[in-house]
Amino acid sequence: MSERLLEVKDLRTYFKITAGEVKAVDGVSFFLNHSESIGLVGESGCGKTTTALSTIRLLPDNGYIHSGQILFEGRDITNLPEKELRDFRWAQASMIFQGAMNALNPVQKVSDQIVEAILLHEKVTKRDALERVKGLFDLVGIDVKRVNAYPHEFSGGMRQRAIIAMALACNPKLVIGDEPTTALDVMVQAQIIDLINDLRHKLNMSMLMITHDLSIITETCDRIAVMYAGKIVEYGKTDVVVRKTLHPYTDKLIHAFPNIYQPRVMVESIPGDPPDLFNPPAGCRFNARCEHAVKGLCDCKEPPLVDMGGEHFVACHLRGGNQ
Amino acid sequence: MADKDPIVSLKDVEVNFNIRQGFIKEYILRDKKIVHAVDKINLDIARGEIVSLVGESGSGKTTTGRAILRLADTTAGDIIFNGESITGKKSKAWNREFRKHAQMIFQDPYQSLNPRFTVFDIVTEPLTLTNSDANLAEKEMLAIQALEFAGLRPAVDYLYRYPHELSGGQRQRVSIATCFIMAPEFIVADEPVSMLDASVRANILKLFVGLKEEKGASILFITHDLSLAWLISDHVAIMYMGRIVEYGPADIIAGGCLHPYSQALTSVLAMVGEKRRMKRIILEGETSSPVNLPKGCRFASRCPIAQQRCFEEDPEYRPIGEDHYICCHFPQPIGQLNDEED
Ligand SMILES: Nc1ncnc2c1ncn2[C@@H]1O[C@H](COP(=O)(O)OP(=O)(O)OP(=O)(O)O)[C@@H](O)[C@H]1O
Ligand SMILES: Nc1ncnc2c1ncn2[C@@H]1O[C@H](COP(=O)(O)OP(=O)(O)O)[C@@H](O)[C@H]1O
Ligand code: SF4
Ligand code: SF4
Ligand SMILES: [Mg+2]
Ligand SMILES: [Mg+2]
Repeated sequence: MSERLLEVKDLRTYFKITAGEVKAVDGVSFFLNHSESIGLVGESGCGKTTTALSTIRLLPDNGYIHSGQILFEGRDITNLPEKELRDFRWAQASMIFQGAMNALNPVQKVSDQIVEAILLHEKVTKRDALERVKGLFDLVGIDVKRVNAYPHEFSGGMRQRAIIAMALACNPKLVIGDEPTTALDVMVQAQIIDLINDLRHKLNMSMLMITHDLSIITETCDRIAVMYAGKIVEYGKTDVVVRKTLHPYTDKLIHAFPNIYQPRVMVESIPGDPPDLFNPPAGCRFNARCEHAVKGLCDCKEPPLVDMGGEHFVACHLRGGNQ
Repeated sequence: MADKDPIVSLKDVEVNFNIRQGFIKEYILRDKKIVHAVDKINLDIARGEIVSLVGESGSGKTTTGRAILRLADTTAGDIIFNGESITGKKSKAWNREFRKHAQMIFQDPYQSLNPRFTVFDIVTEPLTLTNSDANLAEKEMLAIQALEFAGLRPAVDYLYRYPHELSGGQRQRVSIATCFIMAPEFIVADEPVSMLDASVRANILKLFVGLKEEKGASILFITHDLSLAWLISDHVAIMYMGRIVEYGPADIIAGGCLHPYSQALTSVLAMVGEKRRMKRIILEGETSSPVNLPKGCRFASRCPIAQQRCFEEDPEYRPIGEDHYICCHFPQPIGQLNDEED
């Protein structure tokens, strides 16, 4: 078995809109080894969810993979026919959708909703599926006695646990979590982070975690990929990226979070707005907001993502060595 | 809380809400349910300071802010504003006058702005509501000043735009300009940055600090983010199920909390790129809403150091040091700081 579970190579995913195309993901590359976790971080609208949806081929109707490869255990899934995709989704890779805990069907028992998901993907009896759901409840820390509960009878934390149970239902190798803790209170967030870390070790599962909150990634992920305007700008082991940061954007992002263990200094904003992905700028997409930008270089030529050693990648003309 | 002349002073303030549960339960079974959204809180806000009110959702933060601004009725207790009791004040004339001094900024920049109003309409609405006698040219001047203070420069470019043409951060700036056009002495800001990306929220936070430092405004900053409370405020008050359980200087968040609940909350904070952290205290279960309050301490069922007395006797809110108040029978440090610098 090769080390790589997932390898995304130069992925481009576009959305068709009346005025043209939104290049939501525009040349994204990263990889993930078996039983590792990777965090995808970046500002709202930079293409995190679109990257995830491409990975399980669940794009909305107006979205399509323009080019690139998504290798799952070496098999390219960008051109998998729909029939094979159905076997792939859930059983190989599943997703905890952004806001899913608030999208449970209010008039159907939580357990039945998970049973339905299982029956959709596997040929088992309803009774066996329900037994499995009980096991899953236990696994994610929901009292099995609550198996007949409806969504409104669950607290926010329990609903999120149920959503996690649903994602685990068919024993996937990869679970994608799209902002799985964002809407939760601090303490429930900490409980869910512990649960996710615990499950990953118990089940030897790989995880792609999406969030705009860097601190969550440093708590849960082995690797981190920083995304900006449809591209990965820095990528590597979490500790290395956070402490030996190379990309000016990553650096700014880290300093946008306060640190209560350091002297109290005001955090800094990144000036300007992220670019419009309908009409992305030439050169480095960060150039209009970057204090290190070099005229005639950064606004003309796109910096490639280069390995700076030790699987630490960066896409920047200044920090990425002489190309 | 030693300030002799606070701008706002809450004395044993309570706000209850009746929960609607249908005719049979309410009228036949006489089963009335009451939420003690705010339950006997005491808090002073000094002139020119930022006090952060921190807590989980449902802990009573918004209700406290609304009560101070007379947007929610108090069930008991007294609220003093500028030396005068405002409890129960309601008349239109009083309200018009009060709005000149006290304003609120809401959480959601996507919902709090009327989509059919231009930025100019929105920002000058408080002037209209308070029957300002400013003419159109004067209103425009005031709007421009407020917008520029809020960082929308040049303001003329924004005056006649609609909310949907602005980013989330820009909308929040419009809300701040709207609040600021009256130059209020006191502002309640209810989670004003929680919908914004980290990369844009710093500028908004700076505006609040600027309002305090340059304009001398007093601010009640409501947030669920302890690290932001630490960052911008002079004092913090931590709420749990309608109570302030701990109050002190903002830096207690970095390891100086003594209430078990505040210690648990601060212990799970992870700082990006920082190895130092507190030993994590993970509380089991979730905070319920303050409907059926137990006899003793409302935190007892989850408290890692609860003793028999806690289940029998409701702790009183009391001073525990200079400038430090607590609502706990046995305040003590229960975690410790892990210093694993490398
Ligand atoms: N169905 C769609 N049609 C057109 N454009 C879309 C569609 N879905 C997303 N986009 C655009 O694609 C870009 C990336 O969106 P995406 O949802 O992947 O962002 P994200 O990083 O997940 O953001 P957030 O943190 O806000 O969830 C944005 O510019 C967005 O407006
Ligand atoms: N208008 C209302 N009617 C009934 N209950 C309310 C009302 N407003 C708030 N509550 C309840 O009061 C409690 C405190 O709410 P709130 O002040 O909004 O908390 P926070 O702002 O800390 O999230 C919650 O249990 C909430 O459901
Ligand atoms: S390539 Fe240029 S503009 Fe882009 S991040 Fe590097 S220095 Fe800044
Ligand atoms: S009074 Fe008792 S139960 Fe309540 S917080 Fe203090 S120690 Fe814990
Ligand atoms: Mg998203
Ligand atoms: Mg609130």
